[in-house]
Amino acid sequence: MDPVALQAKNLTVEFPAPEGFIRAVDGVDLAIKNGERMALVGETGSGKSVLLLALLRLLPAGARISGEVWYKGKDLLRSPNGELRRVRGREVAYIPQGTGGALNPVLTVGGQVAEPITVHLGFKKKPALARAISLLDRLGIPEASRRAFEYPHQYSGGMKQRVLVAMGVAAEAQVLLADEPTKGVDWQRREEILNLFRSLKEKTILTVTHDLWFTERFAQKVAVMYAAQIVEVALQEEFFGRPLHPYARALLAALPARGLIPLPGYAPAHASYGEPGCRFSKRCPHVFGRCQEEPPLFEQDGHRVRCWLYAC
Amino acid sequence: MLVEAKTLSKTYKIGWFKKRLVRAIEQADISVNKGETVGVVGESGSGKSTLGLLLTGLLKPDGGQIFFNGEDIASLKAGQRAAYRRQAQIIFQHPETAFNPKWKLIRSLAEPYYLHKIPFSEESLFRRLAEVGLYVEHLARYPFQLSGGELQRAAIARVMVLEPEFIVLDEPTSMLDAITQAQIIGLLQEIQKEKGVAYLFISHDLDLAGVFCQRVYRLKEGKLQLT
Repeated sequence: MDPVALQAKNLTVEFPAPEGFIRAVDGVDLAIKNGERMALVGETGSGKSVLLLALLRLLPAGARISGEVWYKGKDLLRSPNGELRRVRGREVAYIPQGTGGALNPVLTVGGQVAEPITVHLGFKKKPALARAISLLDRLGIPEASRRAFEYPHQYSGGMKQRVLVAMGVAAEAQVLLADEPTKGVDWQRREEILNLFRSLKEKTILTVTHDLWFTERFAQKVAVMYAAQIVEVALQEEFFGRPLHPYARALLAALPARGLIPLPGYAPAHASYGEPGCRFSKRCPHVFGRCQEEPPLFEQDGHRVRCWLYAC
Repeated sequence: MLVEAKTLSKTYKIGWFKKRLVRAIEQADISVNKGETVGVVGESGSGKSTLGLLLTGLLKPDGGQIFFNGEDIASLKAGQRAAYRRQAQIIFQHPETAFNPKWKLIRSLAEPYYLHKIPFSEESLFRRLAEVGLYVEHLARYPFQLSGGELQRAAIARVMVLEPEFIVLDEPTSMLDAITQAQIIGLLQEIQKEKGVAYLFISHDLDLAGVFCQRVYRLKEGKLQLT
């Protein structure tokens, strides 16, 4: 079996804007292995959610995507729509953010979880519903056989996230792409969601998050995104113990438990991405001459980092 | 003592047909000194936000008393009440819902000047903006054109126009990423050092409250306890 489950090569996403095209994702190379749990972290607007959607070509029609996304020997960006529809949900599932309007408010929860089972696995309605109920039960919805007939507004935030995960795994997808599963939820729910994601053993999971607490406990590998580029990829222990990129170090130093030290300045505007030089250089405490050129992604024993400090 | 609440209680009635009582705050005692940061942590639904609304006078308690600078706010006359409202301000969790989406930022930031009859001048507004690290160009933007961190800064600037003595911070950073969170907390600490404001910091993040606050209360099922 191919050890790499999903691989993006030179993936670039651009959106039309009054000034021309804006680059939300810029030349991303990222591979996730079978059974691996990876977290993609970065601040708001760094392009991490767009990257996740681009992997399954779920972006709005105006978006311009280039590069390759390899899954089981196929380039998903060039697959015909019908083939892609069989992959989406059936093999690679997208789990949206739980706090927003990801669930249909006028359909019962059980019906929504049963839908991918009828569509992808060819079940009839009744057995699909039974399967949906057992799935909800397994993911910790109390009294699932009754609550499956309730509507999303009767569910709490943590339970909605459970339902979305249930929909994601309903058609037995092996690769899950989860968008900010812990955004805006409180401490207890966060722990609940962490345990829920940990319970999905043997799945390949790529999650986008800015929650480092969750990342530390959940992920085996961490990728950091800054201004549309991947700036660091490392194993979890490496990232939290010995972060290399100055941005990654600043990110960790900003944690309350590690001193709450803010990084001055702001991420560069999208329009300035075309300018030469490292995109972090304006906020970087270690900036030097070479930062005028754009750094490539260097590799040091499996730890990848986009910074001239590590050029050797 | 700047703010002191004694045996504060608040009950909500919920349900359409069958009325049910929910005790949000039960017999709570809490005090905040001048220039101090006091934390209140608890899970969602524990009554944290209700406490903030009560202490800023946006909700009326069912029982108990609130003293502001030694005066019982229930006994205040209309004019004094306005002064108290000006002195006790609140910043909410979702800055995007705290601004009128149809107004450019300048209109939202100018509003407290005429509501509280403070003489308006561009310089004083620009000074407030500079204090929170925003620029004049931000004033011409609509809320959707600003990031969460920028909007939260604008909310702080809007509150600082009134030069309050007491600000309730209702989860001001829970929707923001780690670096933006550290920036906002740093900004709040700076303002406190300069102006001597007192904060009531409502949060679900124990780590953050531990670093930011001098004293931390825990709120559980409507009851307050000092940790």
